[in-house]
This record gives sequence, structure tokens and C-alpha cells, in this order.
Amino acid sequence: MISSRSSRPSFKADTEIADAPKLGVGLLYNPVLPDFVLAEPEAFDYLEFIPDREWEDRGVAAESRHGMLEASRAFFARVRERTPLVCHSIGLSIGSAGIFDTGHIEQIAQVHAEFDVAWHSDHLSFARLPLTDHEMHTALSLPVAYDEDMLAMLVERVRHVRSVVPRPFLLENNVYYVDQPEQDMSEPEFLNRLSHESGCGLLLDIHNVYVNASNHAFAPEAFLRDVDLSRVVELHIAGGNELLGFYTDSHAGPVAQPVWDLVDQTLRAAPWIRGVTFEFHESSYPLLKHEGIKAELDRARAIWERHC
Amino acid sequence: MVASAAYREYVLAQPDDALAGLDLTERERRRLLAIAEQPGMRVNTAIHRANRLTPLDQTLPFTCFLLGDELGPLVDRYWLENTTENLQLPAECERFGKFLQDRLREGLVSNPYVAEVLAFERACTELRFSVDAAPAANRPAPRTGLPPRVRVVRFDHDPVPLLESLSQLAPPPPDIASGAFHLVIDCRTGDPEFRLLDADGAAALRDRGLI
Repeated sequence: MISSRSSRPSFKADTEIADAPKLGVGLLYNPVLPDFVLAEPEAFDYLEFIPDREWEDRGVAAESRHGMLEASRAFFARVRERTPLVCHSIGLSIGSAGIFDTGHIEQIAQVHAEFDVAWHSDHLSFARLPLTDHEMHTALSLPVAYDEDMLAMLVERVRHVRSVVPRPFLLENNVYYVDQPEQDMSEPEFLNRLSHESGCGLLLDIHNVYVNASNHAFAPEAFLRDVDLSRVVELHIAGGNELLGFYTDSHAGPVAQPVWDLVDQTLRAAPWIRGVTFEFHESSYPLLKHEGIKAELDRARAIWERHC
Repeated sequence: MVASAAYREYVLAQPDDALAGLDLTERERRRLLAIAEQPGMRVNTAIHRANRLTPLDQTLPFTCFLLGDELGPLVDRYWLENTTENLQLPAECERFGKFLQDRLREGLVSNPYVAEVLAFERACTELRFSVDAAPAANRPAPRTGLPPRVRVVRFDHDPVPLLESLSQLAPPPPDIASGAFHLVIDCRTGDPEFRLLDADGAAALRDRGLI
């Protein structure tokens, strides 16, 4: 059992996290959701979207690199009239040692300015690799090594992000299917130090914790006891399935009961939590349909209202 | 190692050769070797392949359907020849579209409808991901001479029964008429509208050098 919160520790004065609004239950936008978003606005308190999917990136060498897609601009402007928006980027690749894409960060700042986004997040991972004459994208979010030199690099980068984008910035714990031996720190220790030393908040993906615990034989409750939950601003919840003998973070369909149990325990102990976001892959829409999405959101809301 | 099971095998079999040229510390080298032999790497590779296929399935679903069993070998070759800088849908659609056009010219694609359906889906993707400013929607684009939100795609088979069957993910019916058909895709009012050009309309556009 995770300890219940007894008091609300303050974020340091040099971070924006304390200003993040308490939003409630959110939904991660995907291409099958426009009808649901417009038809069921009461089903969620905020809409989270992946900004990188809503702009065209003509490449780092292009004179005018980014362009927001017309249809996306119109859609999110319409949603924003009544529903808060949150950004969840996938393209920064903050853990790539050879790449730090400041242009991407400036584009995130543009999106914030246009849509008044409550906070933004990205993944504590890497997906972009510098090759001799171009970049390669791994098409997969790979975990960073929990080492001192990686921590030092990330602290500097998070500070840069925070200096460019005047909104709370969160990093999400990653899923991993292989172990990296000889790391300097455990994952919880790395997350805690990164958050405290850089000023970022944590987006705790509870399903990722559950996936990692299932595949690497540790107790998720122990992981959650070791993470400083006072740094957690948002939770992600999702479903998964089996592949090649592993349980994967496929975002397939409804949330499993053990994940709901972990959400309940975490919300009880996270004093600065601002939102819980349900995410699913568009290909699993037939498993959910409108009724299924609404059921997951309703269930998240019941837990949220019990503790927050 | 994520993208290529063959390279992962090479790392395990001949690490000195496979890792030559990489600037690795001794710890990083030990890590890579330990990672290479873990069964979880097969999961990483499977997810990598699924994530690379997703943009193609989302932008070229009819083309992928028509390719059938030929799709697997084609994407294997495409991925081998094209590491990608990002997986943005329009960019990936264009890259694979050009790759597939080359294979069509080489005669490596057997389905007779792929070329025209590929052209149709590339045009739809280009319009769907338009970043043109709205006031310019009716101004002719220099490249096509058509309004930026309008495309005309030539079909060698009647596109109506062809696209209707594909929209149900069903094989095209056997009796589709062949000939020259021009399908207009018009997104000037938002959602795409489709209409077939009649002979006069096609002739007028042909006279202006627009098709």
C-alpha cells in the first residue's frame, strides 16, 4: 500500500508546476475521435493532443520548417472554446545524445501561444539518431540509461525547454522490453532526481509501470512507493495485450483491473496531481466505440472524485 | 538492432566487426551485447515494424489492400532502403508512394489497379494535410494550375465501382469498365467532394494543359 498524503509539499519557486490548473479526467486525441470529441464534450474535462501529429515538419534544414495543418488548427480552436487543451509531444527525443532539437521546442511554444495549453509533456526516451548525413527515427520510443551523465544532460535540456515554453513541462516514464545492465540508478531514483534537479514534473504512465512490472518481475506497488509522488502532475492509463510472450503497451482497448487498482492507490498519494488521461490506439476503436470510451472515462472520473 | 534482426544477429556473432566505428565506452559495449541477446528485442523489432506500417496503412489503405501478399516484401525493401527522419503521415506517404512508383515502372507490382489508386490516395493525403492558408484556397497553385484544394486524378478504370469496393475492403469486381476517367477531388469547402469529369470537362482541362 502506498502512503496516503498527509500534506501538500510545495514545488520549488523556480518551477511552473504549482500554477498548473487542476483539470480532472482527460482523453488523448487520435484520428478516430473527432466525432466523439464534438458529440460528448461532457465526458472529459480536457483534451490532450499530440502536437507533432498536427503540424507538418519540413525538416531541420527547411527555411520555414513547421506549418500547422489547416484542419487541425480549425478543429482544436473549436474544441478550445469550451474545453482546456494539454499537449503531449512525441518528437523531442530528449534523450538523444547527439540531437537537441531547439526548433521543435520553439514550435511547441508557438502551439502554446495559439491554443493556451495548460501544460505540455514529452517522453523520457529517445527515438532520433544522428547518422552521417541525416537522422534516423527508430519508430519506437527507447528508454534512456539511468546514468549520471544522462541525468546531467537531461537537466540542462529540461531547463532550456522551461526557458522557452512558459508552461509546466512534464516527462513521462517509459516502457521497456529489455534490461540495460550496469545503470547508475534505479528508474524511480532517476525520475526523482531529474524532477527535483531540473524543475520538470512527472507524467506517470501507470500502464507503463504495470507493463514493466509484468515483464521484468517486480512489484508495481514498490515502484510507486519509491517514486516521489509529490512530483507527479498527470497520470496516463491505457490497455495492452500479449505479443511474443511479453505484455505490451499497445494501447489496445480498455484498462485492465490491476491498472485501475494502481490508479486508485496513486491518486490517493499524489498531492499535485492535475489530471488523469485515458489513451487508446485508433486501431482499437472497434473494441471500445463511443460507449466503451465513455465507460473508461466514467470509471476514471469515479476514482478521481474519490481522491482529488 | 531495433530495426534489423539481421544486424542484431551480426552483433551477437561478430561483435568486433558489427560495432566497429561506433564510439562506445566499455560499459556501453557490454550493454549493447547484453541487450542484443534479450528476447525483448524481438518485441522492439515487431513494434518498430508496426509503427512504420501504420503511416502507410493510414494514408494508403486501398493501395496496401490491393498489394495483398506483395506488400510484405515491398515494405521490407522500402524500409531497408529508406531509414526515415520522421514518421509524419504525409511525408511517409510521399516517400513510399515514390518508391512504389519505381517498382511499378520495373513491373514488380502485379495488381492492375495499384497505379491509379496510389495516385488517388496520394492526392487525398496531400489535400488532407494541407497547410495552405484558408484565404488562398481558391487561388491557382503554380504547380498544378488548379486551386490548391482541388486535384484531378486520371483512372484507367471506372473509379466508381473500384473505389466503392475498396471502401468495403473488398476486391474490385471483375467487370470494371476500362478507359480514360478523370476524378475531381475538391476540398475547397472542407470535407472532400468527388465528381467525375465528363468528356467536355476533361477536354477543357486538357486544352489548358492541366491534366
